[in-house]
Amino acid sequence: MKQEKYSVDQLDMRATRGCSYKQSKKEAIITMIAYVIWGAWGIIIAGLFGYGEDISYMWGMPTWITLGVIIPIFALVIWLVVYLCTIYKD
Amino acid sequence: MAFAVIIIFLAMNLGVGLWQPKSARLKKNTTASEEISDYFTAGRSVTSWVMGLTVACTIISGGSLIATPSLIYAKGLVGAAWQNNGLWYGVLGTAVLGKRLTTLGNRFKVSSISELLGIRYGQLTRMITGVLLFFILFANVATQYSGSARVLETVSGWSYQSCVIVIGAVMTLYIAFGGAKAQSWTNVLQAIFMTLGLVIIAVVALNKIGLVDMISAMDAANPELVRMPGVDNYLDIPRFISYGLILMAVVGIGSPSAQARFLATKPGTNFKPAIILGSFAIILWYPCMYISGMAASVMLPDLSSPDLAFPQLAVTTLSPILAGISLAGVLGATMSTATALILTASAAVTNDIAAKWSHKLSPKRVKALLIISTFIVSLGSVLASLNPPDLLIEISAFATGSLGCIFTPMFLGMCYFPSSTKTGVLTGSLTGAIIVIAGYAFDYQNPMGFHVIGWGLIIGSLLTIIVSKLTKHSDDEVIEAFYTDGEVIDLKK
Repeated sequence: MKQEKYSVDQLDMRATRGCSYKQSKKEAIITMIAYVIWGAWGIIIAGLFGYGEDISYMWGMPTWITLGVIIPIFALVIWLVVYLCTIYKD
Repeated sequence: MAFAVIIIFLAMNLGVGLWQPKSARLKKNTTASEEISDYFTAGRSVTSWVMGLTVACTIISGGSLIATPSLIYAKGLVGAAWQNNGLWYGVLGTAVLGKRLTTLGNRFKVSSISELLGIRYGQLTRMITGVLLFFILFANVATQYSGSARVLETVSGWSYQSCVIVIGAVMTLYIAFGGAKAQSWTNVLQAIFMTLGLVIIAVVALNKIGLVDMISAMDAANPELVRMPGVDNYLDIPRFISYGLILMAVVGIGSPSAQARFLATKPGTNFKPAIILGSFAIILWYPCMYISGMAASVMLPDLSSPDLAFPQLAVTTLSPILAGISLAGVLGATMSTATALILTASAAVTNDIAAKWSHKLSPKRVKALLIISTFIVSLGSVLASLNPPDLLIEISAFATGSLGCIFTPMFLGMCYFPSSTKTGVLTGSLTGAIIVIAGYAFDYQNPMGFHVIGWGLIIGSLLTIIVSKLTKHSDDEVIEAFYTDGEVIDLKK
């Protein structure tokens, strides 16, 4: 099938600093790496502390829940604030 | 009283959806293309904070609000561990592709995701993705209607079929006549109810039984509820990786109905409010869902179906008005997802599959066509959900998984990888989708303990890279138009 000719908004080709291709790509890669590290942490903690009859407890909850579910929620909030203040550019 | 709150909520949706300020209306003497763009991208007038809430609402469906507490109720805290990856939906949904899609959408003045893919990877890609979107989203809309009807059924006493018709009529009316503008503003209302409903139920449950006491009671009732891999060996580590880490990523990144919303913002939009609102809304919603599932497990241990965990907890622990608000939140989650799916499916028909024909019509006729096509998509889904199959969640998971496997490599390639080619993305995406569809069709969802969605995405992405390296690259002018920074390129040269 033949490619149809498209029109491009010439003005919008002038990327601003934050919207540039390179900046957006950098932000996307950092976000995905952070997601994989964060997700891997939860899986490792669940594997280490979640199995067995006598699981350990921390702050009244199973350690794998405290370290693998609750603390990562706060870690995500902190990461997001740091990300938006230092890495992300509009 | 709970029923009255829900009726008021539905009426508010209808009012907000059908009302449009004068400044938002399209001027006279428009072209067919402008009509289509206005309908599907709200004239690129959506502000950043509305965009954040819209994306959050679109990704979090009523299924999430019902299924997450249900999963924790039935399988234990592994449900929370699994769903915790969903906290990233907002971040992945807005921060990975949002800014690029807005820039590209405005650069090429497109009205749908398939149209943008068509410019990058050719008209065949536009046609294929349009057809796939239409059929897969159609099935998914039916599951959303069914979920909404179940909630209304809980408090109204009406038959399931009557509930489907009422919900379908309300949604069809405002989305068919209002398009993307109606969707954006109703999403704000729905997000407010979702937040109120979830926070209310979580606070009341924590007030009645503390978090530590909830976990102790679950441990005493059944130790498997607080241990890996959960009841019935639900979530072993390979499944955790494939069905947790990978599925959640493809839902966040590869959701065309959510990503299409970015075409509705204008260039130069400040995206921080969208990321902040979209991300923090989801970060707030999920823990509230965990708490409601845990509370239901302790307070209502003998439910006939785990899916009743959230609605029954709302009805039994909250006052009627608060229960109404909580259930309206579930309804809002379902409606926001359904309307985004309807619009994307309708765009696939009028703007992509029938593009050559629809863009030549007069503006009046094209407007009528847009309304009729949205009506047909929506009413078709109503009919499909009148007698729903038993495994609605499976259909929804299949639709989400297959769409994610199709669109994640395509979106990432289109936004960030100049070396990706048409043959590469089509081979990778379609192979990924076929793996997921075959896994569900033959009931072989965990080959070697790894979920088919994980296999689909990994194999599909690898094929995209390999085939792209082996095939002819796209025209230089297309590459320049998509991936060049900071300079004006004269394509006429």
